[in-house]
Amino acid sequence: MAKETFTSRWSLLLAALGMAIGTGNIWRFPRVIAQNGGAPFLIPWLIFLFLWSIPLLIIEFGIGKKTRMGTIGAFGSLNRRHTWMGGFVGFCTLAITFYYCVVTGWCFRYTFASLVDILRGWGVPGGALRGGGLWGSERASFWTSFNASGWQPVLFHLFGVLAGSYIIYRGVVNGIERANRILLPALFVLLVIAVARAVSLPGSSAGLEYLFEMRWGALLDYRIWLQGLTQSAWSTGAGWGLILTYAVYMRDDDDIVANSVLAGLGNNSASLLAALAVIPTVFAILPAAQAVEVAQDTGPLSTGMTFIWIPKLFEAIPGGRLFLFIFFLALSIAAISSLISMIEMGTRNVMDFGLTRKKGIAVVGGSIFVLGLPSALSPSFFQNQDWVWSLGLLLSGLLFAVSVIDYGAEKFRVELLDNEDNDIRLGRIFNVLVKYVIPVEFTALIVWWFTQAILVYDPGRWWDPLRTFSVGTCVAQWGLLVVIMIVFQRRIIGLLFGDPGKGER
Amino acid sequence: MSGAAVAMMAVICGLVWGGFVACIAFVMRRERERKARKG
Repeated sequence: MAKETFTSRWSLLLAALGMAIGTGNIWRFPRVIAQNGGAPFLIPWLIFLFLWSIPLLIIEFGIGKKTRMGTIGAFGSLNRRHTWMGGFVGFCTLAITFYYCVVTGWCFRYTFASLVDILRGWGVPGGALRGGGLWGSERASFWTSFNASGWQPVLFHLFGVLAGSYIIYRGVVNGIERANRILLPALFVLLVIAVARAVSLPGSSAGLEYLFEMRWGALLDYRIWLQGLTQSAWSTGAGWGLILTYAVYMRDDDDIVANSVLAGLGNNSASLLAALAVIPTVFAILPAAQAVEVAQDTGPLSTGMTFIWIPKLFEAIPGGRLFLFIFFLALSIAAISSLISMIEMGTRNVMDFGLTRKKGIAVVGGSIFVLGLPSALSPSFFQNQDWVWSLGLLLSGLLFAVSVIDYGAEKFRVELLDNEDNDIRLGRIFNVLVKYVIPVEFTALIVWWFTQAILVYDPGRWWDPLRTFSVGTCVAQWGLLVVIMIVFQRRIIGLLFGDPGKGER
Repeated sequence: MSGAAVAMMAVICGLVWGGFVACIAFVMRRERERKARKG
């Protein structure tokens, strides 16, 4: 049993928001809106918040609060035979952490570089801070030289591991709670400043027009709905096991449903702020046709707009050095606030096996550094892992729903959701969402993404497990993980519960 | 900006940010009530 708890509901909510708001909000969301034609995309994105993300956040809160264990123990507590599912969810998120920490390192590097630019702007000699700034460099040259150096991505990846591990080492109250009390308000303030600057630029109204001009016919395109669902699933962190982990530390009488709605809407609020900071800036500086092209640019490792175009665009606006720093600082804050929830997820799982927090963080932090190295050094490995485990998250979401269906959606609702602890009663709509809506959404998503792989990404070798974006690589890596978890399930149950093999609930 | 775009901006931002702020206000009220109940 966990001994620490969050000291207040607000601390839990700030931690939940910190988990949900990550680089996906600031980095991916503006690009995905642009790639899907602006305003029409916002409709499915908002609808699926209530049809996928919030129900899964509710499930995670409920399971964490009930079982008070990390993902492996939590699934095992509900049904011993489902322990492997908790292992899948936990490893899937940990596998994302390996390369997400590398991404956090990129954010740190760019924040540092934009700070160098500010100091240079004030007349501090260029040699005073090593590593150079973003200002005045060729459009992609900073990214290229940073990534090609090898040691720089590794060094900043290490900074990410150390910063995240230190916060987790401090514990729930002194680490997670205190960090999020500073990080989240700072993030929202920085985003609001960035939005104020963006929308006050001459010509920014073209960007707002692009963002909000509704083309109703576009809603007939099924791809917009699937992209909206995908963005909601990846951005809110629902189904990752992260909220489950934070719920381990919630107080006994804390609410679940209203907290989930608040976390979901807070995540979407931050996404919308990021879009309003980025898209109007692009349209204010570039002609409309080029602005759309730039906003849609995926670039190497999806860095296109954020890491390659944004530094150049900010050169063209008054006070650009300061606002570039604000942008990358916000991105770094979003990255670290999510990273700590991922590290805590891994640490909570190993602590359930009897390790102290100190030893747990050493094991998890060390693993993240070592297993993140291939992604830091090899773009194709990074892309493969991003492809495999991002889709794996959708399967994780389904496993949460399956676990609740097996436990009894009605029983789960009555025991955990529709009681005096909760500010909002869900009623039987929860049962419908869990039993029918989430499985249908998962099926639609996985069929669509795999169809993309077969028809678009790698038509000739879609079955090949050694290809970066193939169906085969997903099935092989997921399958290997499932087999390992099932083979060791009895031993894991024995270590966690002391009753190997029992099928009790 | 066209009137339709302004209206859509008001609807989307109103739903997302308005919903978020309303949720915060709701939680604040419930927490006050809880504290009052517990004395």
